[in-house]
Amino acid sequence: MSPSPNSFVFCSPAKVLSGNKALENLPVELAGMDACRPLILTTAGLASRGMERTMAAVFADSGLTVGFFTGIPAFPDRKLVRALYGLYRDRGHDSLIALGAGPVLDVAKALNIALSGAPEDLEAAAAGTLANRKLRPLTAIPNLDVSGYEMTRYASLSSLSLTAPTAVPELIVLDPRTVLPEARKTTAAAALLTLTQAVEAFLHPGRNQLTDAYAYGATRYVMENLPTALKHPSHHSSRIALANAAFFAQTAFDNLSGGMIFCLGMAMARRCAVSPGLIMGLLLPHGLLLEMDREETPGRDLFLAVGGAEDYAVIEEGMGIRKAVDRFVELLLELQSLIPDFPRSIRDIGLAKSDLEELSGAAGNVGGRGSLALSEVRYLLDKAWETRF
Amino acid sequence: MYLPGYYEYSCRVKIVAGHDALERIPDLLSDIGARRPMVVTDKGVAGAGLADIVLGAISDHLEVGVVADDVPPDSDLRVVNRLAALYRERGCDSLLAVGGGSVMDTAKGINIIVSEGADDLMKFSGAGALKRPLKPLIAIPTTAGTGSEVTLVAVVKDHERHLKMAFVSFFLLPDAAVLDSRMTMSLPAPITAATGMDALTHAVEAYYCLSKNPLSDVTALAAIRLISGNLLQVTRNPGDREGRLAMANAATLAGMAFSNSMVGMVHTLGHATGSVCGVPHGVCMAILLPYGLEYNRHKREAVMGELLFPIGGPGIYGQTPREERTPRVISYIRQLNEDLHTATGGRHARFFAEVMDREGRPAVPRERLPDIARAALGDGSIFYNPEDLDYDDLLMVLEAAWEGLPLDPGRIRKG
Repeated sequence: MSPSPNSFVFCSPAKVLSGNKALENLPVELAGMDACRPLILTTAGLASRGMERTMAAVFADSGLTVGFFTGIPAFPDRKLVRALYGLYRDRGHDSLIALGAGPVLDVAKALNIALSGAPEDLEAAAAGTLANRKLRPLTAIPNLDVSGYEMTRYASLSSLSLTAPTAVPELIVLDPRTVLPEARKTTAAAALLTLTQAVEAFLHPGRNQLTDAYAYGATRYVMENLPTALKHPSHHSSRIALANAAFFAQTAFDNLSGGMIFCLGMAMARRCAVSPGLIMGLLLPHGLLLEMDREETPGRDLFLAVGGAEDYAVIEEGMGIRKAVDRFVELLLELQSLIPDFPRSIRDIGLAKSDLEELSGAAGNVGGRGSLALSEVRYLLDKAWETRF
Repeated sequence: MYLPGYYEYSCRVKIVAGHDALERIPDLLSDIGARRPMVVTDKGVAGAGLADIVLGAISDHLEVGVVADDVPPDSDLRVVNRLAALYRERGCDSLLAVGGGSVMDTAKGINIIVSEGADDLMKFSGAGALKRPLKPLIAIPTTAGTGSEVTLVAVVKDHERHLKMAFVSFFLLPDAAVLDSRMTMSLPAPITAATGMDALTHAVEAYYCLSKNPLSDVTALAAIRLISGNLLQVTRNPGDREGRLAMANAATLAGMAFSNSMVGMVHTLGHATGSVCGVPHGVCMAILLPYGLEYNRHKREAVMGELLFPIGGPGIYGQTPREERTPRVISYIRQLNEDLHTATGGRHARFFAEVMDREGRPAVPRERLPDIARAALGDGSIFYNPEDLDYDDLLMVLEAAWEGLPLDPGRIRKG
C-alpha cells in the first residue's frame, strides 16, 4: 500500500518579520521572548558596511543591553565557540542575534548548543545524540549570501557537522537595510541554491502539502525576482523576495532532506573554489531531465511553481518537467548575459573529467530518492560535462 | 507572487497528520519533556468514543494523569479554575486537548494558570501579558474546520461577571497539532459540511482580505485545493478515511492562513449572527461566503480570480477569460452549497431562512436582521475587509443572505 499523501510531520518553528522597518520590531520581539541582553554576532566585513551602527540605532531607546562580536571568520572552528562561550557568560548575555549568513549562523547555533550545557556538548550534537534541549532565543538576520543552512537545524564547524532540531532560529528578520545588495554573482549563486532546494523539495518522496506550499513560494519568488534583483540592486522588494525565498526553501529542505543535485553541488563545491549554487544551477536541468522518465514525478506541480498559474493552465499533460527545464535554461542564459564570468558548464569550474567517477560515488547514496543508482548519477555528471549552456 | 511591504508570520505548531498520528503522541510529549498529561475533552467527544481512541493509542506508553471530560460547549472560567486545580492535584505535567474550540480555549486557560502559578486568569488577558513558554500542550481537533489547533488566541467567559476574556500570545500556540482521520470519521454529514465551509471561508478570506502575505497565500491555496477536492465527497461518503484526513489537513492549513492574515466581512456578519441568533459558526460561514466575494469584488477582482485555479482546477482556469474568473468562483461556491444541501438531505442550509434551531423553528427570524447588523458594527474583523461597510450595507447583505439572492450590483458601495 502506498503511503497516504495526507500523512506527514511538518514544523517551522520560526516567526518571520519581513520588509520595511522590520528591524524596529526586534526589541519588542526579544522582550516577548524574555531576552534583554542579546549578543550580536557578525563579521568584520558586515560591520564595515555599517551594520553595527544600524543595529545600535535599532536598540538605542529599547532599554535592552546589546553586545557585539564582529569577528566571525569565513571558516570558524571550535576554539572560537569556546571563546564566545566565555564572553557570553562573562558579560551576562541571555540571547543571540546572528547578523549575516553561513558561518555567522553556524557559530550562533553551535554556541547556543554549547550554552545549553557545556562546550563539550557539541560532540553530542554532532553524533545526533543531543536531546531536544531548549536553547536560548536565537534571532537570524540573514542577507542574500546564503549557504542553504541558516534557517535549518544544521550547522557546521570545521570538520564538525551539527544537527539539532531546536537550533532552528526562533525569529527571522528580513529588512532592506540588512538584506544588502551583493555582487551579482553572489546573489545569483545563492538564488540558484535556493531554487535547487525548492525544486528538489517537490521531487522528494516525503513531500507534503506544507513542504509543497513553501517550495512553491520559494520557486515563484526566485523566478520572478532574480533578474530584477541583479539589474536593479537598489530595488528593495526584489531583494526581500529573494531573502523570503531562501527562508521558504530552507524550511522545506529542513522538513525533508537534501536532494541529489543539492548534495552533488555541495560535494563538487568542496573540490573547487566555486559557489555550490552555481554548480547546482548547471546541474538542475540535467537532474530534471533524468526525473522526466519517472512515472511518479510530479511534473505539473513543479511547473506550476516554475511558470505560474497562467502558463501552467495551458501546458499539455506530461510536459511539466520539459517546460520547467526550458525555463531554467532561459534563466541560466539570462544570468550569463548579466554576469560576465558566469560558468557555462561544469567544465569551467576547475574539475577534471577523472573527478566525476569519485563524485558520483560520493553522491550516489544521498538525496531524497534514497536508492538512486550510481549509474544515474554518473549519467547526469557526464551529461553536464558535455553540455555548454 | 504577492509580497507586501511588511508582514509577519508565525506558526510554530508541529503538525503531525496521519491515519495513525495519535500513536505518535507519547514521543511528541517525551521530546518536550512531558510524561503525565491531563486529557481535556467534553461529553460529546467522550460519548462518541473519541477520548477512548486517544487513550487507547497512548496509554501503553505513558500514564495519563486524569481525564476531564466535562468542558461545557461555551468555555467557562469556573471550569478552567476547577480543572487547573485538578491538574495540580493529579501531578500532571502537560495537556492533551481533544475536541473543538471550547475544549482548546479551556485547555489554554488551564495552561496559563498552571504554568504561571496564577490564581487570577484575568491578570493575563489581552495581548503580550504572557512572557514565557507554558506547559506542553497538544491539540487534537475533532472537527475539520475551526483551525483553533494552530491559533494563538483563547477566549474564556466569566459567566458570573458577564465578561469575555481574550488571551493572545504566541505562547498559547499548542506545541503540536495531531490530525488523525479517526477523530473526524463519525462527524455527521451536516457538521462535516458546515465545518468544511468554515475552513474554506478562512482560506478564501485570508486570500482576498487586506493583511495577506506570501505564507498565508500558499497555505490558503493549498487548503482551498484540498477542500474543493474532498468536502463534497466526504459529506457523501463519511467513511472516506483519506478524504477525512485531507479535510483535517485543509482546516489546519486554513487556520495557519487566517490566523496570520486576518479575515473580513464574512466573519464580521458570521460572529454577529452567531451571537444574536445562536447559529453555529460554520453554518453562517457557508451562507455568507459568496456575499463577501460579491461585495468586495470591485476592489479585489484580480486576486479573487486567482482562486478559480484551486477551486476549478487548471483546465477551467485556463479556459476562463480573466474577467469571468471571479463570477465563476462565486458560482462554484454557491453550487458547492447546493450540492452539500442535497448531500445532507437538505440539512445544510443555503440561506438564513432555511436555518432551523433544535426545536425546528426558524433560527434567524427576518426581524432580527437589524440587530445582527448593529452587532456586526462592533466586530473587529470589519477593519480588514477590503470595502467599507456601514449599517445599511450590512443590512443589505443580510437581507440578500436571508433570501438566498445574489447582491444587487447597483446597491454595492464602491468607495
